[in-house]
Amino acid sequence: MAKYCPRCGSPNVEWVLPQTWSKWQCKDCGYIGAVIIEDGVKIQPFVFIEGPSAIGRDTYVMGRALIREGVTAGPVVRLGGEIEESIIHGYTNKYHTGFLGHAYVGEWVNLGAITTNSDLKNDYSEVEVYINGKPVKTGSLKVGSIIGDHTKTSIGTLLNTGTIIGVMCNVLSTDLSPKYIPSFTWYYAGRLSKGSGLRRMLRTAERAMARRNVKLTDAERRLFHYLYEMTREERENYIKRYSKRRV
Amino acid sequence: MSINEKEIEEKVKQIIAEKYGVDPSELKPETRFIEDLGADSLSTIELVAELEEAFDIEIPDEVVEQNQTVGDAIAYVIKKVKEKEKKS
Repeated sequence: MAKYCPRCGSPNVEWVLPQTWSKWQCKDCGYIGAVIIEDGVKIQPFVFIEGPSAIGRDTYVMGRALIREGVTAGPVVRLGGEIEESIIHGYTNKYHTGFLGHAYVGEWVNLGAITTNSDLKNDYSEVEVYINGKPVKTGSLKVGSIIGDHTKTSIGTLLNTGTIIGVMCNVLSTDLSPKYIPSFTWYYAGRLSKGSGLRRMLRTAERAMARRNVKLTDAERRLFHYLYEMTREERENYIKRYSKRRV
Repeated sequence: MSINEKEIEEKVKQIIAEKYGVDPSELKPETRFIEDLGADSLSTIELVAELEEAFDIEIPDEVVEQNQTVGDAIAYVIKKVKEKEKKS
């Protein structure tokens, strides 16, 4: 995979050694920095990319995107809005305006326009995340969202500090999201549900993947069936608990 | 053990009632999903998925629009459950 200089576009870039921090040097124009752009990346006008950041192959960076330090994204990702200190896996769309910070986003995720995550609490206290139904202290003041593969958010979704969302979720949020959304659920109209069911979720995944000329493999299909069963009890418990809490 | 039509009707009504926040006794065969219960496309898909899981049947998307009333839905689920029982 060729890497390109963000200043002159030359592929003649090498790591600066010894590596104490991720720095690259362009042998043609002399650029020394920590931004790396892989093959096939398209960057529209008025984009700001701060290092260290790595933009993976065939990624589109939309006009006026503000990509601040610590972003690793790609391959085949759409990047827009403001992103900071985040890892965004392949084939995910974060196309529109909205802030994503200190986040970890899986593959094939689609973040609707103005989807924004909080990564800092208003009282500057340590962020807790929910793991196995229990709050766990992270030891950090800045934690954004962790979002599983194939999850979608609607326009205007607001994700609370340290929100964890499972795989294949559909978050249609009109208020601040819950801190934990189990895999294969919908958060919609202020409540959690089983959504459209695994069969339809897999069909949606197939459609999304076909748009990038990728097929959902039998192995992936089996994996999602396995995950669906593995998370069934937790999902059902959360849906029950959440509906009681909201009543 | 096969489930009889009355039990299917009660179970379908219970699922619909929970979904739309009404009492099952308020649901009549002529109750319309969109006009009377305020169903939208998302809640309809959720309802269909819940019926599929509850009765272990598959409901194709193309028939969803044809079932516009509670009575339609009950009749369709009864038909699908009977088909499934015949096959097994």
